[in-house]
Amino acid sequence: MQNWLEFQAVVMAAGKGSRIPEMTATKPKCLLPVGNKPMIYYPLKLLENAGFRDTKIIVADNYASDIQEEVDNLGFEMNLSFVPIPSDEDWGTADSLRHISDYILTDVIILSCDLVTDVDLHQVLNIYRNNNASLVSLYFSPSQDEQCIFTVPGLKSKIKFEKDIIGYDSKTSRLLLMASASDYEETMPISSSLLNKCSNLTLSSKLLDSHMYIMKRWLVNYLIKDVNISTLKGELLPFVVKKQLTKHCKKIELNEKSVEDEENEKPDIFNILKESDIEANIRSMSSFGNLSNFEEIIKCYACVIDSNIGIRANTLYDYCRINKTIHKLNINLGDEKDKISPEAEILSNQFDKESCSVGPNTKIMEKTSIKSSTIGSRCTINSKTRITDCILMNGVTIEERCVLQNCIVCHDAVISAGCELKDCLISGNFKVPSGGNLYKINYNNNLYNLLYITYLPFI
Amino acid sequence: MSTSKVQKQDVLQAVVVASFFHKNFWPAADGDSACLMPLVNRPLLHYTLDMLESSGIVDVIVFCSSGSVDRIKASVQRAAGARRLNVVYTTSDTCRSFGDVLRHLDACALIRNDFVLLWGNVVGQLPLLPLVKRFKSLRQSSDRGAVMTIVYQQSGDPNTSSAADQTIVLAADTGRVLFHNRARGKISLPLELVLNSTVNIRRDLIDTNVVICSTAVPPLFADNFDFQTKDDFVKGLLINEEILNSTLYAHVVDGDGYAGEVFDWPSYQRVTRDVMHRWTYPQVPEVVDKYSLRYGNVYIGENLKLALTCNLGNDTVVGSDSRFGSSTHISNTVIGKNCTIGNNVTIENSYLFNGVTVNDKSVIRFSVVGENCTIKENSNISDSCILGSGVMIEPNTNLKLMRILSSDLTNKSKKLSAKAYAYDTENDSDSDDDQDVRGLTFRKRSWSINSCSSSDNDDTASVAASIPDDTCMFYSEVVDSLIRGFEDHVHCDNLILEINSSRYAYNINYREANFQVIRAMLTLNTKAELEALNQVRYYAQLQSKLDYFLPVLKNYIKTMDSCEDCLSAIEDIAKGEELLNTVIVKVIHHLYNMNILSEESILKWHEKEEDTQFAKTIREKANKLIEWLKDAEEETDSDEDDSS
Repeated sequence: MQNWLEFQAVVMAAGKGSRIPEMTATKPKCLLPVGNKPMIYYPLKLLENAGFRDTKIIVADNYASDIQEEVDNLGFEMNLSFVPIPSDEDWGTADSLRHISDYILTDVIILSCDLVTDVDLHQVLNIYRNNNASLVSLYFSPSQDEQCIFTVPGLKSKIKFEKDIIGYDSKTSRLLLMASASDYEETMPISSSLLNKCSNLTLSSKLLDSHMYIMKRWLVNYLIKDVNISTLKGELLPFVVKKQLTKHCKKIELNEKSVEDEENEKPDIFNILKESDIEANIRSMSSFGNLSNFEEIIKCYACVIDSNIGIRANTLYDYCRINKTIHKLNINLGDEKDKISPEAEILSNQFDKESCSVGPNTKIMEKTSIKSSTIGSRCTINSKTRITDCILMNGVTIEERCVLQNCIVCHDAVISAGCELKDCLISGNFKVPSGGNLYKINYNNNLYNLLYITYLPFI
Repeated sequence: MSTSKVQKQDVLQAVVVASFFHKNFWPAADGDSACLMPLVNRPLLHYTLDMLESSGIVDVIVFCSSGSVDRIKASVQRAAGARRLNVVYTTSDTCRSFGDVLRHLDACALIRNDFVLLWGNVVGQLPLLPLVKRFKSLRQSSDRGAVMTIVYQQSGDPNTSSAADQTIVLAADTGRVLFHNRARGKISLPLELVLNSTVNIRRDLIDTNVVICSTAVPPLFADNFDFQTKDDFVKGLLINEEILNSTLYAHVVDGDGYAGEVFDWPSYQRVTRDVMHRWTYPQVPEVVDKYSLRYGNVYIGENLKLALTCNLGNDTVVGSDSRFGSSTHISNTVIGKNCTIGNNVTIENSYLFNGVTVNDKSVIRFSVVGENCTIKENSNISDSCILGSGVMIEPNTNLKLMRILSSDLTNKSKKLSAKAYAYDTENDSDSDDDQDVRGLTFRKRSWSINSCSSSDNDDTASVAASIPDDTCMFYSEVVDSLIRGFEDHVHCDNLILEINSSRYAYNINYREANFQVIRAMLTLNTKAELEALNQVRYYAQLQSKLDYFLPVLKNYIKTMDSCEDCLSAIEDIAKGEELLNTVIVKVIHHLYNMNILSEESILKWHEKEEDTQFAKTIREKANKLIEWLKDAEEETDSDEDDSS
């Protein structure tokens, strides 16, 4: 039955969110809200819209039940099965895929839980189909006009993100080079074999890797063989992309004896990829493509999309950005009632319906002003407060006479009366003490840090 | 009066450099008059001027050397398109390079505005005015420092054409030139470039020698007196970008026109083919001249006398007033006007200029025959022979890879007959500059290393197949380095550095590296070259190469172990390579004489027991050398005994 499927879908939702530790200390990354929905809603919706009926979700075992509960509430029609992986061991994406390799019988499409995009999945799948690709990776080119400038709440992050360098054929968008800028010092050597293969190579460091991959089943087989590979992006992809350039010697029976001892250390990828007879026949008879591509079996392609919006909400900046732009996106967020839940009690007189979303069982009192904010469920917002450009997660309580501007308040936090917060990030379960005089001007990043350290032990 | 002045400011100028500072076409044409050399029976310069005329340019400045100005003037007057052009000639005797021409232009102050600069060898059809317009708006809006737009032609398949031998890095959004490299090997990009913007690395671009310059270009040449060529200029500007505050842009012609430059014989072949295949329309024979076009791109001139059994194959141009004998086969060939071709003649892939006489039963393949040459009966001229004008080839002559003059100019040439002096290009070491002059491409260039990818050649493929990937890559890079090193006379120290870096890149251990370096050194010849060489020539070439690479050898072959690697590499190659097999003992002896291989290692190698038939025969062959070695050893031993 399963063999009839063309693709199987896997959503990687076991990420710890190490780039946003403030928010993910007590909550899994995939459940952080984006526009009133947990983040994982978006990749799942993408799959469901594309017609997938079954999806595997890889989750960390300590959050497995939380995630399952929340995802079940989202009302997906497709079958979702959750695969827990040990959270205390440092499993990479490739490890997870290896873990479920028994279930994978067909080609596989892998998404990350933090991918929010309105791209048409079929567009990507067609690139895979048209080229008979071994692997397709989706990239977004940075949108110039959408560059929204805003202050990122919370501490200025000092983490420098690695710049990836992607090289692909300008005409065929064949993916030929994956590297990280930190691999090089001042110059970047480009081998002649790469240049001979591709006479019009585009190199870009600006593309955003969506972490969405479509790969052939034999790559999973390779993963099973080579246990040293732990991540898809960091290890498997660069390896496979590089292997494209290597000439594949067909005469396996000739070099059997010489390679035998090496085989034990590293499995030869060419021995694992199996080409069916009919595929080999097609290849030999086809007049399609030029001669240099003739012999190739490993073919990686990059799908570079510039018209659609795609964001990976794995950094604070991107998380804020997607929350600010999610309403403008053409993503099916469900019905209007999902946006502002009918179960919410809104008594506010200055409530901007267009730019806000509110979860169920939330209470918003009179004399409040709420603009362009996302408010989760079970929140209580007392009167005489003003909230602009904020993200309030579930169960947040905001007491009277508060002013919040450009803040992220994590789940079950309490903002005591009279606080004035600007550009702040409040961790989960944290209680901001009352007495606004401390925060009257800017809720200073350093002060926040201080608070965070001093108050956390008391909670 | 005043209105004409205003107009003069706006009129777009074009500068045509009609003097090439190279001798690539020698002896068919020299540097000064090469732009008058016929391409499809029409002088090159006519194509260039027609292109300018049809793209709407009126003011043309033609630069030529004073010796050829009269000939060029006379020729231009005959060109149809030139009648509507306002041509001004400027000459100088002191110009020795393209840079000098620009300095001359600067000194003469002939340039009023942005101008089109091109050589008198550009064939094609380009919409130049929109390009100039774009260049102007670029300078006004985004980049005031833009001084030049270089026009490139996109080539079809870069793997088969040898023309695209440069690597250019362009900014993807603006088309700005960021990096330029003439070599075909690997490149090292500054990381900064990649991080700052998305870049395109292009290997599929061919120079068209058409550039659009701002008025800043001639002064830049004047300021930097070391700029000799356009490449110098590009390189200098890219390196000193901040200091000179000038930027370069590229425009790639793809679909909106065609332009090709004719600078050597391979490009001559390519452009001729493109003209016959009508890429340059309307500049095709039957439009610009009185030809009739027949099926299969056969162009036939007027007043022909074709014998009934004369067979004209595809891609052939036959000039007017020519006569052809019976049973004559002609294909892929351009034949000039007033030619006389006898009976039973075969002409393929060749270019015959005006007034050539070919007598019965002669064969011409892949050759150029200059004006008014006579080729007598039963001659065979093939494989990139270039005949200057007025050469007379005696009957029953067989010529390959030769350049032939009608008179003895240099006293170095070999006399073949009263009106044919051969000038051997192969051993021409003391020609004025060491740039290699390429002949016609007469076979597909395929380095022997490429055969490890194709399965058509079984024995080499099997050798390559047994090598693990990285070693294979290392080997091919070493071959690349060595070939380039030998051709460009790279210093051996640099080659060692290069090889070492490849070695680290592919993680090759010492002994493997020794083995592969020797293997690479012995396989530098292409298959085509090998077929053309006999045993003696082959050994002479190999010896010269080994001598050249002596420092490299010394670096790698130092110890007993490395000697062993070296010998086994020689044996390995000899197994697949018949020619080397015949001279293997000589090679070993030569290496011994060069103090690369030690006595003991050779003896040890010889004593080693081998089971295969091949190894045994090789060792038998070496017996003589071994005996001699042993004798020499005893002698030195006894000498030492005596002295002690």
